Amino acid sequence: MAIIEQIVELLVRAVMQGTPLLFGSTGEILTEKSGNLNLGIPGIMYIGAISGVIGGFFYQNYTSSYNMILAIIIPLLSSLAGSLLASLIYGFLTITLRANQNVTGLALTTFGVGLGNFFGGSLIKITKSDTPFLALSKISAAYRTTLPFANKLGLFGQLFFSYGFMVYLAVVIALIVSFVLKRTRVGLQLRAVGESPATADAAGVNVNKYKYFATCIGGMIAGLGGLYYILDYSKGIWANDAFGDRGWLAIAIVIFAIWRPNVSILGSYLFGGLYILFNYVSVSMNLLPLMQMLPYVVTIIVLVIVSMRKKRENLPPASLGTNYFREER
Amino acid sequence: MNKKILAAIIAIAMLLSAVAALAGCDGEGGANATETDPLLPAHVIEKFDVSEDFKIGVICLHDENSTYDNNFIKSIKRTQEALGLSDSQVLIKTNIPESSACEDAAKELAENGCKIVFADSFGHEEHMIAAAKAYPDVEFCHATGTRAATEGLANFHNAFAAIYEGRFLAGIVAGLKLNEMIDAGKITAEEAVMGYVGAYTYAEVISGLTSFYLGAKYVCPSVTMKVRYTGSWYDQAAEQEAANALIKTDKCVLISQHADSLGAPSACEAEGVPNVSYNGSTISAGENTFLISSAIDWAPYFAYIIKQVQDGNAIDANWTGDISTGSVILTGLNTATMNDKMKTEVDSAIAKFKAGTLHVFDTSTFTVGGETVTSYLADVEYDTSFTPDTEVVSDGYFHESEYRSAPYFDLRIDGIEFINEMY
Repeated sequence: MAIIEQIVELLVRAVMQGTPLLFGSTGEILTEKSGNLNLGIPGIMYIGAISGVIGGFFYQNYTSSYNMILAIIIPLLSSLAGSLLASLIYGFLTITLRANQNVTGLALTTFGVGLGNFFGGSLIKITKSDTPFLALSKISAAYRTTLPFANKLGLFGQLFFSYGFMVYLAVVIALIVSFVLKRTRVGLQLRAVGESPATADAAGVNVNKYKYFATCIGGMIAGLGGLYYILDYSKGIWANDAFGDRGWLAIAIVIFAIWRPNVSILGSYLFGGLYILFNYVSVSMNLLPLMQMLPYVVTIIVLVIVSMRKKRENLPPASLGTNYFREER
Repeated sequence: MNKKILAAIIAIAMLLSAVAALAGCDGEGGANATETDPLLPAHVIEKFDVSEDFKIGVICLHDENSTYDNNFIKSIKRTQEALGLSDSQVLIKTNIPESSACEDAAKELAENGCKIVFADSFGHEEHMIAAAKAYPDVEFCHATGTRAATEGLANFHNAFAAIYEGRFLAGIVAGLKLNEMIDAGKITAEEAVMGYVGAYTYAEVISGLTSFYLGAKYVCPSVTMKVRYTGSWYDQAAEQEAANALIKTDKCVLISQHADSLGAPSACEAEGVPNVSYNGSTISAGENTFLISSAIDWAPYFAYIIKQVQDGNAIDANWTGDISTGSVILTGLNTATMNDKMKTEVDSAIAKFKAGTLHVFDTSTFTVGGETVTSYLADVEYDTSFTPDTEVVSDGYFHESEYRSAPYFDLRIDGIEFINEMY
C-alpha cells in the first residue's frame, strides 16, 4: 500500500511539475504551426509570470477587501496582457519587419528574464522584506483551491482532483488547440501558412493575420505556464530566477510531441516526473545527472526516429523559422 | 490589421502605465503575521573615526535578490551607516562569478584605492589569493574560506561565524514545538521525526544540520531526523520537492533547511508543517508555520576589519564570530506558532553559551555508530586531498570552528538518517 501511495504522490507531483511545461509547449506548438519558431517562449513565460505577480501584488496589498474571484481574475488578466505584449514584440519584429526569428527569439528570452528580475526585484524592495522574495499567499490560496470532494476520495481523489484549476485549464487548452489544428478550417489554414505561406497566400489566406494571431495566442498560453508556476506550484512565492530553464524544456517537448498538443500532455507530465524522480527512487548520486538528462535523451531519440521514418505528418512545419516575403514568390 | 495591432499596443501600454503609476505608491508589505522581538538581535555597531580616504570593496556572487548575498549587502550597509562612511567609500560589486572575474574585480577595487577587499563566496577564494599576492599592501578578506592559515600570506584572511550555535538555539525551538505536538497527542514520541533540506553534503551543511538536531534533542530526547540534499544552493523547485518528499514519504512533522530559496518554507506552509528557517525571517511565506530563523550577521566582522586597518593592526588570519561578538543572530518567534517555553529555554541556553558552560558538540550528547566519540582527526589545514590532520575532540566536546573559522564538523551522528548524498 505504501508503494501505491508513493506512486500516486509521484504522479501528482509530476502533473504539477509538468503543467508549466504543458502551457509552454502548447503555446509554442501553436506558434510554430504558423511557421514562427519562437525561441522567446522562455522569456514570454517569465513575463507572463511577473505580469501576473504584479497584478496579484497590487490586488493583495492595496485593497482592504478580498474577493476570491478577483484574486484569480486580476493576476490572470495581467499575465495575459504581459505575454500578449511580449508576443507582439516578437510578431512585429519577425512578421512585419521580417527580422531573423532565431535572433529575435533569443533576444526576447534574455529581455524577458531581465524584465522579470527587474520588476521582481523592485517589488521586493517595496515590501522591505528581510529576505529577498515576495509572498502572494492569499492569491496563491485562491489559485490552489481544489474541488471540495477531492479529500474524500482517497488516492483517486488525490490523483485526479487535488489540483488548482490551472492544471485542468492546461489540459483543456491543449485539447482545444489540438482539435482546432486538426479538425477546423482555421486550423487547416494555419497549418497551410506554416507549411507553405506562398500557397496559402495564393489561396486567399491572410498569412500575416494568421501568423500574428498564432504567435500572440500561443505566447499568451505559454505565459500562463509562468503564472501557474508562481501562483500555484510555488505557493505564490516570487524570487528572482526561480522559474529556471522550464521554458527551454517546453520547447524540447514540442519536438518530443512531434507538434501535437495532445501528445504534449503526456510529454509534459513525463518530463515533469523525470525531473523529480530522484526524490522517489534510490539511485546512487553519481547517476543523478544521468537521470536528469533523460528527458533530453528521449527528445533526441524521438528526433532521430522521426527523421528516419520521414512521415510527413511528423515533420516540423516546412516553413518553420523562415519569414514570408510575398515579393519573393 | 495594422490598426488593430496599434490599438492593442496602445491598450496594453495604458494598462502598464496604470500599473507603473500604482507602483509609485508606498507599500505596507501585506503580511498579517507578527513576530516577537528578536531573541538574539543584531548588535549596535559602535562608531569610531574612519579617515576620509579609506575605502572598502565588497565582492558578491549574486546581487541583493539572492538570500545569501543579501545578508552580506545588508551587513555592509549597516556598517557603512553606523560608521558614517560615504557611498564612495564602500564599493560593492555584485554578480561576480567564482572565476578569474573575481580576481579582476578584486584587483580593480585595489587599484581604485580600497584598503580592504572582501569576497563573500567559497569559490572566490583562490582568485582572492591571486589578487592578494599581486597587492601586498591591500587586505583581502574572504568569508567561508579555508586557506588563509596554510597560504601564509600576511594580507589574506578568512572569516566565518559560529552559526552552529544559532542553529542549536533554533533547534531548541523546534524541539519544544515537537514536545507541544507530543503533549497534545498529535504525534507519539517516536513519531517526532524532523526533516532537513540541505544543499550539499559539505562540512558546513553537516555541521549546521547536526547542531540543529542536537538543539532539538536538548529538549526532546526522542527526536530523529532525515536529511535530503538537493545538489544546489538555490533551486526553488528541488527544495520544494525535497521538503514535500520529507513530509509525505518520510513522515516528517517539522522541517528546516540549509539552502537559499523559499522552496522548503512554502512547501511547509502549504502542508501546515512547522518550519525553522535560515538567513532571515520567512514569516510572510509561512504565516502559520514559520517558527524562527537564525542567521550570520556580518556587520561585526566588517566593523572589526575596518577598525584593524584604521588602527594599523593586523587582521586575524581566521576570525570566528559568535554570540558575544554579535555575529550570530536569531529572529523573533512567530506569535502564531510559538509557545511559552520557547523564549525562556532559548534565553537560558544563550546565557550558558556566553558563560561557556554549554557546548553544541558535547560528546556526551551524541554517539557515532553507537559509540561515544573520544577522538577525531578533522581536515582543518587546507590540502587538495582533504587529509585529516588535526585532533579536534578534547575536554569532552568537538571544537568546531576553533582551529579554523570555516566549519569542519562532518561526523554522521546516530539519529540522523541521510537519505541521499550530494557533492
